[in-house]
Amino acid sequence: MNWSVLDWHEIGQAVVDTVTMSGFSLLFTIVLGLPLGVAMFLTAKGRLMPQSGLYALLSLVVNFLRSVPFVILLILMIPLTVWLIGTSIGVAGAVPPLVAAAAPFYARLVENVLREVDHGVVEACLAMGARRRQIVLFALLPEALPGLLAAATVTGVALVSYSAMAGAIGGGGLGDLAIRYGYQRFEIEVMVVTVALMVLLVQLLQWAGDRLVLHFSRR
Amino acid sequence: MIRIENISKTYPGRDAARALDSISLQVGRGEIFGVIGRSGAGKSTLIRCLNLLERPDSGRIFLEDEALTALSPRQLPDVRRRIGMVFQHFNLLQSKTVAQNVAFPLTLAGNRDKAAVRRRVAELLDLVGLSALGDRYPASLSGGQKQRVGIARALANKPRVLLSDEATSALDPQTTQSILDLLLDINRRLGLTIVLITHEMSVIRSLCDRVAVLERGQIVESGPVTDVFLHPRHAVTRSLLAESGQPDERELARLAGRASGPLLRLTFVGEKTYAPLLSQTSRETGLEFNILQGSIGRIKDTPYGQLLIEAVAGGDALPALQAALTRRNIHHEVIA
Repeated sequence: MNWSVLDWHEIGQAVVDTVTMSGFSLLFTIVLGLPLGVAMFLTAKGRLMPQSGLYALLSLVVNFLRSVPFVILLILMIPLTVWLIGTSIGVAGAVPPLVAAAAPFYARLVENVLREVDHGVVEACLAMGARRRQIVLFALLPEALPGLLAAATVTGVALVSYSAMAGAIGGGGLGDLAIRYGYQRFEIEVMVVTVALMVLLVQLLQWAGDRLVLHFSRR
Repeated sequence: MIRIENISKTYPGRDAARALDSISLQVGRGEIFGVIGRSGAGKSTLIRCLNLLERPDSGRIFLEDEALTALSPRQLPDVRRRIGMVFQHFNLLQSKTVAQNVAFPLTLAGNRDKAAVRRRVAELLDLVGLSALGDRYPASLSGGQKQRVGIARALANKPRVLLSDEATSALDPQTTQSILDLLLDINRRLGLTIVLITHEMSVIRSLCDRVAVLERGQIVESGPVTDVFLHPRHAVTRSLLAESGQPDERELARLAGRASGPLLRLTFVGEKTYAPLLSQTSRETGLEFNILQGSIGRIKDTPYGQLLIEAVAGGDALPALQAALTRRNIHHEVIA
């Protein structure tokens, strides 16, 4: 192999792009997915605000977005992306489809994490005269924090690999590099380095996530 | 203090049996009231109705003459702050320290004065004997310590009533006793009314003033603990007592079959328990007695004794014996 063909400057830029894409996507995923997950948890049968109609609707939207293959979602989202941020290419253009794919995924994870919180705790809060908003903010979310962080880590890892796919329609980042140089130009070296960097990125993310979960675990 | 009028509750979907079937009862100020029953008798539903964690289908519940059942969901949180509750499985917030758990109901009630909250928490932890553990997380505590935190938390907003939902059922016997002692201490020091449910007769005996026996959603027997304990009328009460060592019907029948003379059950309550009444009776009547079975102890603060005796004599000696017992004010039943 001839490692001298590598353009380290371009690779460095690709790393920055991937981190930016996944980072912003994760941020917006949590901003949208967390309330959605909480809403699904609360409206489910036997919970604090049972609303079977609303629950069914939310659940349907989440399932729909999760079942559309990401490549198709990328294309379907183009008009919306253009409307939202003016372009569908580049790092910014990749964020809306990434969020559209990851937010429902995270919301479902949030719902499951909240279900794991002992119902006795909710009951104790009710008995203490807590209002629903107080139960969610001061009891459910703090109790579920380690689980929510673990779910965010899983989602973040998924976003790193999805962001590589977003490169396919000109999103930039490591995936874009791997496809254009490594695949289309048969520069195996680029392929090896970009994949190695992706692995490293995912490892780092998982390690940081695990540390955070451990830090907030009181069991 | 608490008045329950005719409450009923049926869970949808389950078989026709009602969880609660026209229950009425009253609990006085400062009283410790116990509800005992087997699992599935409806006691958990009953206590959860008292702070409307469960809403009865019909009937009314009053706390200090305020009809709780007439309150809207918006008004419930305020009234619930006047009712503390402790749970079998403690239900502490794992993500908060002991002190934060105790402070939690105070912050829920809108206490913004941090220094006052800290003072109140210190006071409560001192009351339950956990002053040194304020910064620990619940996961590192023993069951008894967790229940102490639960009790401190329940008392934080100075409730008028404390509800105890099988508070000692998940604890070992020694820890159970220490928690019962704590509840009794709180009842006396703060004059706090306590309603508790349990399936253990020993809890009723060491803590309660009055008791109701629940079976299939109905109160089958109720009254002062000494009465219910020493003169159970309902079969369910008797079988609950048999589990805590009192002789049941089968045992009595076996003893009656073996006895040659009259068989009597004598009951002493209060100071009489410690007087030599049986030997006096023996001297007076010239009869000899055989003690077949008996227990002497205390029900809460009241000493009691209950003896099953056989008079070594024929049946014709019975009237004289009964007269002698009556003269000494000894409650007696002729078994055979």
